[in-house]
Amino acid sequence: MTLARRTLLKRLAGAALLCHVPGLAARAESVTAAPLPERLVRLFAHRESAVVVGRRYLALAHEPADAAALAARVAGNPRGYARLCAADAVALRALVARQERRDFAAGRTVTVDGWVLSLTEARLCAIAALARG
Amino acid sequence: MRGCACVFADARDLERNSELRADVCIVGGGAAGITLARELIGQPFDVCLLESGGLELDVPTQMLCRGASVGVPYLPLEATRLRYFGGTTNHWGGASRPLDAIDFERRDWVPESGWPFGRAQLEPYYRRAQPLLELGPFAYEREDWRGAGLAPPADFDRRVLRSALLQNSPPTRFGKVYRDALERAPNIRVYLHANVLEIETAPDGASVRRLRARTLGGPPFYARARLYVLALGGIENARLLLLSDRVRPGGVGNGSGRVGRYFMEHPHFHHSKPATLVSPGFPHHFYKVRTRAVHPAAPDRPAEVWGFLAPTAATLRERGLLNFGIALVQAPEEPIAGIESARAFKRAAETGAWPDDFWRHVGNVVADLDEVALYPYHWLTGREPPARRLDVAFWTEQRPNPDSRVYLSTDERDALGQRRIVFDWRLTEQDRETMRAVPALLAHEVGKVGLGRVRIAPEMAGPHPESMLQPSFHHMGTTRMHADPRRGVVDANCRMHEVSNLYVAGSSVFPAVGQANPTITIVALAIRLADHLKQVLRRPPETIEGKR
Repeated sequence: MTLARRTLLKRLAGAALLCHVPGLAARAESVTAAPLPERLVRLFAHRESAVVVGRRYLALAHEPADAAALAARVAGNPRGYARLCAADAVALRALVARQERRDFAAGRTVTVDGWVLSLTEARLCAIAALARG
Repeated sequence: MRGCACVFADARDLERNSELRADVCIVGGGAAGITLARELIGQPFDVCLLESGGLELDVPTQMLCRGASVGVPYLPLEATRLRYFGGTTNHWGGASRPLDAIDFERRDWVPESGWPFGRAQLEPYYRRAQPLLELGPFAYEREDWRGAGLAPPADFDRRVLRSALLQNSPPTRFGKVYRDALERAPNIRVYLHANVLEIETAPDGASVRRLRARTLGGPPFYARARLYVLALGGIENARLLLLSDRVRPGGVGNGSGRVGRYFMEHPHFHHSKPATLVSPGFPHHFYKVRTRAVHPAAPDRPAEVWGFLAPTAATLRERGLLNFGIALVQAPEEPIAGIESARAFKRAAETGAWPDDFWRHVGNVVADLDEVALYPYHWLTGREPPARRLDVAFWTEQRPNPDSRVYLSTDERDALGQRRIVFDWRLTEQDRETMRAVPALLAHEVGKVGLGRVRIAPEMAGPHPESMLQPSFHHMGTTRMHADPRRGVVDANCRMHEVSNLYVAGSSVFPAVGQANPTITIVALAIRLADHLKQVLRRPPETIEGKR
């Protein structure tokens, strides 16, 4: 399966846009009581493209096909998990964006159909794919 | 024949076996040869410049530089350089930038790198080259242009990538721009249609006695001088030395066996789409190919600049890479319905005529509100919106490699009966590693600062990234400069180690090539060589020419 380049370009641009315009993005989530995987999936402006990337990533990587386990990996440790759970939508988005930048700085990246992604965002995509079933 | 006429001469008018005489004989009328001749105008000695072609492209002459290509796929050689007055400046693009300081250094991760001198020694000549190439002031770093109103560059990690500048020459066509000056010069004589066939040396091969030449279909003639300079380009300089093998089997000045070796190019990746950058709003204005800029210190010399990304010296050293440059070219946007409708409203506001399908446009704007929200500021300020998709173009230095070379064909000859060249351009694994590393490094740096994401073409990560390259037609390295005669062909003054009165000008002397386009370095070296020749010609003749 090859991702449609044009579609992915547009959708990834949209996803990145959401990270950079918190005011616009905040409306996407207001509930903090939902399970963490579900709240992480809500970060995507274009969930469909995240699902496609996530399926591709799951096919390539040795990751559990379990959204909760992947969310735990995104969090890194129990303390990190608690911090993500406690964060509201804006803070969660900021935490994830910072972790993505750190991934790049540390070389924790994966390549999915040529796209160089942070390990965190690849896992978020995988969570989106698992949520879709 | 000695003395000067103030017009160009046609070598086809010379009598059989006539002998031209001068103090300096320059072979080749391209960027290097014309710069040299121009620098020698008004000096107390005669200069003779022999040019193979005429004033316009002529197919039979152009075909003299055909050759077989047996290495990395290449365009036909006769299409990659020009053999008439002005040389390859008749079709160059004009991109100019001096080599970086690190390009001159001996780098322990780049075998056989290093020039015999540092950039500081060449810098005065670079400054003198600027006006010759019709460029702005000698200013190539972002910091040099503070106060010039350039858009800010992207905020990359400056320990890894720096935003630097190229300058665009108009581009200067040397044959046209400097023809009048040479025609008027009392001590310069230019012979057109003059093809040098052989460098005749003394029996010991240590000095040049004269040059044997002829025109296409015409009689032979000779040129005799105190000093000779080959300025034929990165392939033909080596070819003429190799062809002149009557006294020494390997050719003139080739005791080291290095003539023709170390051919280098600038592998370039762009139209093959090696990588794409997507971003919510990349500040691409700094990286536009043509930006008019006026340097505060030189308001009378506006320049056209072009921002690009270059690695820091630390990046190259820590990662063991060859030098490279990255350009970011804005790609056409996919039309967004909301933006198009907002534009329709803007036009309507200006003209007072509302669009017929008003409600459809309203629907589009509402549906794409996130996109539309970014645009009013740019409309109000007259600036272009930030880029969302950019094509990544990059080019790399090549490692000096003795197996990458040109040599003489054993069976193919040109219309003058001369052995044609065999062009065997090769890459090393280090070249490939750098090709793979550049887009990957960009992808990481873009992600690190949250500017977007990069998609890399799968071929770029594979075993043969060169499948996506296009050559730059920069021919370099075949008569390399080195202080040690066993490791180079010319010394730091561009003089042949083994031939006392023979010099080489042009990119064939580059021992390492950096990432910058070579023309300004060719011109700077030619100016430096001219200064050197002026000093040499003040010495007694016997100290220059040896046995004759």
